[in-house]
Order: sequence, then C-alpha cells, then structure tokens
Amino acid sequence: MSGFRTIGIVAWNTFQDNLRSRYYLLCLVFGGVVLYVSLLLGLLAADQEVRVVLDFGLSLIELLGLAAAVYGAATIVLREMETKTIYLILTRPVSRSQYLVGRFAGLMLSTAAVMAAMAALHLPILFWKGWAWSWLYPASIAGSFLKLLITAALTMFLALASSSILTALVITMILWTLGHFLPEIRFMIRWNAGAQGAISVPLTALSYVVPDLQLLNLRDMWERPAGMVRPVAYALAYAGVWVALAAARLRRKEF
Amino acid sequence: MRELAAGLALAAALNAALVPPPARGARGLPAHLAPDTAVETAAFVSLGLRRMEADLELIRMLVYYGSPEPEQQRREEEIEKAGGEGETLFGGGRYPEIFPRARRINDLDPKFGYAVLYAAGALAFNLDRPQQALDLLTRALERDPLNLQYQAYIAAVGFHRHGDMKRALEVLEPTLARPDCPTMIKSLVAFMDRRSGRRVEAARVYRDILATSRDAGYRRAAETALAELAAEAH
Repeated sequence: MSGFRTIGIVAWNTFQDNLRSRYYLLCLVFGGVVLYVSLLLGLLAADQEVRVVLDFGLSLIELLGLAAAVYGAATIVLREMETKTIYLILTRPVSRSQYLVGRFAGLMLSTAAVMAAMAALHLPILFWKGWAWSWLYPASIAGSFLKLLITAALTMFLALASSSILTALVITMILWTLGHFLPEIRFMIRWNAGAQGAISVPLTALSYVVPDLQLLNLRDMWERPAGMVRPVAYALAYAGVWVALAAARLRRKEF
Repeated sequence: MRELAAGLALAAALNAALVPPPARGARGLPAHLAPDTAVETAAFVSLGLRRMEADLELIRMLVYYGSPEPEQQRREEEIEKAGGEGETLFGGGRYPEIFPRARRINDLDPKFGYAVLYAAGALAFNLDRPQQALDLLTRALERDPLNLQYQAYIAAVGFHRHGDMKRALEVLEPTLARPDCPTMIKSLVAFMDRRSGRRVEAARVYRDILATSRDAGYRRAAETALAELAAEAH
C-alpha cells in the first residue's frame, strides 16, 4: 500500500467520523441561528444591510470553522492515545507519520465541509438581500480556511508537545489573537524604534515567529483584494512545517 | 524542545521570506479608542474582525443619530402640544458623538466610505457643524485618496458653508447614483431641489430613493413627497 493511499484512507475515515459526530451537527445548527441573528442586525444597518449580512456571515463561518478545527486538532490524537485505540491503527502497516498526516487531512476536510455547509446557508440569504455575486466571496472563505489550516497544525503540534488539550487550546487562542494583531505589533515596533531593546526586541522576535494571519484575512480586505498565490504558499508552508514537526514528535513519543 | 526550536526557526524564515512589505508596514491600532468600547474594539481587531467591528460601530451610530436627544424630545413634545408638527426638527439637534464615532469607523475600516459620507452629511447639512464634516472627510481622503466622493462632499460642504446651495447641489448630484451614497444625502438633495423649485429633479431623486433605499422611513417620506409634488403639479 503506497504512503499516499494510506494517508488517504486514514483521512477519509477521520472525515466520516467527524461528520457523524454531534459536535459538527451542533456547529451547523448554531451557525444557522447565528446567520439568522446577522439578518436581524442587518436590518438595523438600513442602507448597509447587505454589507452587514455579508461580514457577519463570513466572520461567523470562520469562527465556527475555527472551533471545529482547533477542538478537533487538540483532541484527535491525544484522545486516541488515552483510549489506546491508536494501537488498532498503528499495528497495521501504517506509520506514525502517515497516521498523523491522515488524521490532520481528514480533520481539515471535515472543517472545509462545515464551512461549505455554512456558506451554502449564507449565500441564499445574501442573494435574497440583493447581493451581487463576487469571486471575493469564495476567496474570503479560502482565506479563512488557510488560517484554520495553520492554526490547526499548530494546535496539533502543541497538543502532542504538551500532552494537554487545555494547554494546546489556550496557547492556540493566544496565537490566533497575536496572529491577527501582527500589524499592530509591527506598528508598535516602529513606534518604539528609538526606545531601548526592552520592548522592541521581544516584540520583533514575536513578530517573526507568530503566523501572520492578517495576511490571510481576505475577508477584511474586500475592497482591496490581494493576490492568492503568496497567501496560499505561506499557509501551506507554515502548516506543513508544524504538521511535519508534530509527526516527528509523535514518532518519538512513547505510549 | 528540539522540534519547537526547529519550528520557531522555520516560522521566522517563512515570515521573513513570504510576508510581503505592505503587510509589514500595515496601519496601526485605531487611533481613537472610546473608553466605553476600547476593550471590545481591541478584541475584535485581535480576532481579525475589523470589518465586523466597523459594521457594529455603524449600527451604533445609526441608532444614536436615529434616537431623539432628551432636549429635542422635549422640544418636539412642546411643538406638538402647541399644535405644530414634530417633523420640523427631524435630523437636527446636537449629537456630539457623531464625529468621534465616524472617526472610529474610519480608523477601523478606511475603505468604508458610507459611514464617513453619512456622518459628514449629517454634520454639515443637519447639525450645522461643517468644520467637523470637513475634518472627517479630509482625514478619510488621506486614508483613501482614490475616493472621489470624499472630494465631491468636501466641495459641497464648502459651497454650503458659504451659502451657495446651487453649487453644492451641482457637486452632490453626480454622487447620488453611487451605490454607497447614503439615503439621507439623497433625501437632503431632493428636499433642497424641491425648495429651490426644481420639482422634476426632486421627483427623480425621490423615485430613486423608493427604488433603492432599504430604509422604510425614507421610503415612506419619499412616497409622501412624490404625492405632494404630483398634487402641486396639478
């Protein structure tokens, strides 16, 4: 069995398991309710109703995708290690790296499915409100997905490195906020350029290691769309690094 | 620890290689954080929800400007008691928060022209604070130099300030067809057209409000005005 085929089978099983889980169904129900709330808020915005429904919908699709991806990434391997079900897979001709990459791919596939389902609920509302189709919509969803890709990879690494779901979730949330705050952090570095290194050195170091999620925040750049090539390359490379390191960590882990 | 060190080194290399210069020199924090919403704004920005926060601020500004001020409410009640019509005070008042709120929205989303145009229109034409309107428009134009509507509004506010309503209308009229033109401005232009005897132009703008506005209040007002214009024509 080739390596890619093995990864594909693990990924497909993960995808099916995730879609059967109650958590994903809850995400969808909650998403529907929240889209309804965005409709009510849109009414308050009068002339800008379409913009409000668009922005709220895209933001909530991303946040619900984040919840699904991060929770899944933090628990998917650790839980199988706790319940020892991981042995059922690893006793077969599946390497630890193939198992981890397969699990990650399946998780991201199910996150993409949840986001697509939410977008399928959101788009009819937008069309009903008179919105004209724009390719920036799928580009924004893709940008959100790339952010989740990076974040889930980091979460998976952190969960394996710390062996604690809670620690992984907390650090991930800090990185998520820092990743969006990077333009402001860079602004603070420039602003403190004349000051001593006490502030600017740690901030500069931070600005280099934190993932630049604002670069992928195409949702917030609706009027000035950026190209997709660099964000895609950045997200794939960044996520690839942390998935590879998580696989290396799992290979050395004793359980 | 080995993996973590390798990860941080690779992340730094990726950030250095792939993050483009515009993102590196990005704008800073909103310059004017209001005490009551500072934490909320910072939270939304750090969650990557700038546009959503700008939308919420717009809704707050619209609700604020749409709610009568206490003294205005009292005056309207007095006018009503005296047998007059409360509508004479529509849009007027002090509303000191309009300018800082619009400035915050512009800080959050410099491309959100509607909020600036709405607030500038209210400040210049309804609240008699043209200098604040000009400050707001100039600031917005600095952040979005290609927005021709800002330039048109600056000219219109200037003409209005010097009592030249005809030229103010001439400057504003081409902006009415833009999708982000606030209905309030359309209604104002139609009202001024009507007052200066340009009934055909006024009727055209009122019909446009009926066709495009999502604000039920302005649509009702446009219907009434059109009926009155039709009656005047006969």
